[in-house]
Amino acid sequence: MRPYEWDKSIEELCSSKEEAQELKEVASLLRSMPGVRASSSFQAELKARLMEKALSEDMYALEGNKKENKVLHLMNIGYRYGGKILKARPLFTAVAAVFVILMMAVFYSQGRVEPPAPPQIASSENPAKSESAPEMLVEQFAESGKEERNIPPAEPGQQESEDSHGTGNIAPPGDTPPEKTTPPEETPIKENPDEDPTGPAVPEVTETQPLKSDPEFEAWKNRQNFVVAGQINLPPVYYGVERDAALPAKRVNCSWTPWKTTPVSKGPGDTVVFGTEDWAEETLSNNGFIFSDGDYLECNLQETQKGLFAEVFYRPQKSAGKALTLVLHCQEGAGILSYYYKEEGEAAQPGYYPLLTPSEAFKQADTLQWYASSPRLDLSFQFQEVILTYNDFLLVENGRQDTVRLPAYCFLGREMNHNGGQLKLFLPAVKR
Amino acid sequence: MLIDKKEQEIISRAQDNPGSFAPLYDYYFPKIYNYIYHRVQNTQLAEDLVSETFYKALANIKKFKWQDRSFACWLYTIARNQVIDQFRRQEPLLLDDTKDDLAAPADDNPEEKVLYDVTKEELLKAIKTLSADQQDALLLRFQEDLKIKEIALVLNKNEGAIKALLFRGLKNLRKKLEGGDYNEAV
Repeated sequence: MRPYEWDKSIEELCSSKEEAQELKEVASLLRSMPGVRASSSFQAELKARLMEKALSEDMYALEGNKKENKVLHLMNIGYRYGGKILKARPLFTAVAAVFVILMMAVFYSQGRVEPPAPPQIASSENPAKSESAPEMLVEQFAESGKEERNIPPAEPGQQESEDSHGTGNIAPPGDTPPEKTTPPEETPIKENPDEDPTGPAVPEVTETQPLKSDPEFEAWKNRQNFVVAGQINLPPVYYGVERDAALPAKRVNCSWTPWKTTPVSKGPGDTVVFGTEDWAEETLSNNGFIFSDGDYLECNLQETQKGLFAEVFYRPQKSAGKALTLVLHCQEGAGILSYYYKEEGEAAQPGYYPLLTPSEAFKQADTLQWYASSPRLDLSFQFQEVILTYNDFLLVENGRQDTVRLPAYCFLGREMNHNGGQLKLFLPAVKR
Repeated sequence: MLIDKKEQEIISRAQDNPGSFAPLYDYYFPKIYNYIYHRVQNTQLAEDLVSETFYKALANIKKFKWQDRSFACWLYTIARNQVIDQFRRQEPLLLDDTKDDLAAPADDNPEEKVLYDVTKEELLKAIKTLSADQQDALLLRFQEDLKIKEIALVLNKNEGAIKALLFRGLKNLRKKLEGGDYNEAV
């Protein structure tokens, strides 16, 4: 520590020498206040965690996050802009596609392109499609035509299998041109044309498909509802006291203020792109579901006439109880529309069940009975994290009590007025 | 503070390879912990905020530039932001007569029981009644040994404002200690 020098400049602000002397004394007192040392175990533990983090790939990737996000952002803009063009110019797109097909057909019928070798031979003998370009051009075209017309939407693995078994289903070359002139709207459209690397021309036709008017979420396909017969009685909360010595605490204040995180890899003005994993992580974390490395996260983006929607599936890797899969339905600009969870049969029939938002569920905390060591103790709890799990609640029906397992939000919080003690609060999450 | 040139080398290495962050951590951990603890006066909270500070420092070390501030200033700025965020998120920690907050570190670290005398307890209570900026200025100047110019960078104020903060902070502290009135915010 360098030697302490009294700031002469502060003296200039003093009205008298006595005042300056008084302030100097206080400064000396502050100066002599012994420093606080952290426990060596904490220091070592934090160091180990930091070094582990530093050596992990994630940390190295932090620098690249921004660039990656910019690429994603550009892709997103391109996707949206392209979609808008297609929406605005469907006729143009259709005409352009038909024109391309007609031109190919004319070239083919005039013999400018040599008829290809039998597709079966070409396919089995020479799977590398870069050789003998003109022939392969036609062959690829024929293959893509086959996939457009004959193959119903199939699993990617299945399609791969058919490709690898040769091209026996491909129509003879002579039959191909008339079929190519089929109007696009009569052509069965593949579910996911972008995944087919061999069909560069024809998938454009599929873009003319009008956007869906509404989103189609996975959770809606097997949506269930809870029917809880009876009233759920929430158990009393004992804070820092044994039940025998507990006294009802009346001055208890609870608040739900989820962490608002700002990813450190971004500047103040940067925003994450809707529908990306970064966006999903930020959305989850800002609503109290703290995303950690290793957590399961799936984000399905879809564009509709009403805008962009995303369905987010999230399940933490580590959890106090059994972690359930949370499903969020979100709309760009509107935020989270609804909460669901995926039930796998432990507490109810498998399916997707609607949930209360954490804020809605937290309102039930108002009905809790609190017990502490003193009734006059002012307790103030602040909850900032939440986990979706199961909890057994007491159900009362016609005077009869029973225990029922329900999805619950486990709120993690701290007491703020006294010792910062942690508390977990389980509240039913089910929407009835 | 580390000698600037040597520190620059260490930081450059850490920027190239975050695995080389350890010397910076070893050197600055006690300082950052001391500052944060005196600001929040709660061991658990201090540990959380210190962790956050170093995680953020590590994650952003590549963005650190030797342009206008030292690494220490940069680190204290992150630490101070953590403290501010924490106070924004929560109701102010209220002082009461149970001394729970002040007793907390002694429970966690037996060594501190010896160091923890009444004078320090009173001083801490009195510090807590000052405004956040006054606390920052006093702690950074008289506990962390930062220069007025450096404090100005951390608090994003000019040097004159820091001098005024120090002056008013010391004056208020004196008043509080003389009057024994620690519960009234300044």
